Amino acid sequence: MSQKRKWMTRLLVAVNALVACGLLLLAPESPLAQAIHATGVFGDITLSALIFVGVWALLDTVINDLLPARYVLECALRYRHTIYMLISLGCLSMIFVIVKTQGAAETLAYYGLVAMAAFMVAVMDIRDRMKGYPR
Amino acid sequence: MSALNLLRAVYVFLAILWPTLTFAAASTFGSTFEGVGFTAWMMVVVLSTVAGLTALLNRIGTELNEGSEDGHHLPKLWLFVAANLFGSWLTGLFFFLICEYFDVPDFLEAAAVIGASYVGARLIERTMEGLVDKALDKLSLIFGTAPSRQEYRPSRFRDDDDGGPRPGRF
Repeated sequence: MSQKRKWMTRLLVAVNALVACGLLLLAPESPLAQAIHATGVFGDITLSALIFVGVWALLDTVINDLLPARYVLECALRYRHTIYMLISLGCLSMIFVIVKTQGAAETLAYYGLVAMAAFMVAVMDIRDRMKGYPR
Repeated sequence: MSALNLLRAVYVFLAILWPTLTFAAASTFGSTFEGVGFTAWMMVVVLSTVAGLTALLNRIGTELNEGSEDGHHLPKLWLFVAANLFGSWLTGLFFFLICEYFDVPDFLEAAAVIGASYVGARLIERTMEGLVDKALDKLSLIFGTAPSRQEYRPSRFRDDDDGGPRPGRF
């Protein structure tokens, strides 16, 4: 995968994770949002954590990929795989909660796709580092 | 029997025990799990798998962060992956059973499954390293020759390590 495609994939995953959170916050009457908010404070904590890692991934892409090379966010670069795995786990836990409360697995393709894409990005990042490819 | 085959036998034994114990636990808990659908069970497996793979990627990332330019020092990567996944499934399922029994809130349950799977993967990874060392030591006592343990050892236990503190280690 070319460099351009790599950072675009990372940007898309980060933005999609934030959009998924934004949809829950901006449309509280939706069944998904109601299922999340019905779980109480733990739902808000998970949503906040997902927003945090989404913003972190966005900063990573903007600073390390888009800005000139003299701007480097070293910790984001070193733990990029962890951040994207956290995004994946956050989306999967939302699916888990909604499946348990509503049993509506077919409505969750969006979260599933974001989780899968984030997982692929993390694996790809580690693979690139192992093979010494440019990131 | 080589050390690796011994380890394989131990893991196969544990793997055979695991579903039996899970079934017994599920039967004992009775009606607690009647409300849990097939999709929820599948999600537990997926959560545990991804958490275990996170532990694996973190381990490889730590090896890479330590500065080994030629990649990681995990020669039997498939064994390492299998151990991580086994540990994560075991502990993830166990914590799911406990959370269901005590009717823990759903997000807390998901967090517990993820955290337990991660910790379980790391624990079994450490245990595996210890087991390999012990098995090799015993074999060297029995046969009088020390098999090459360098092959099975991750970088932090390698013989060329000076033993001093290393940056970035937990």
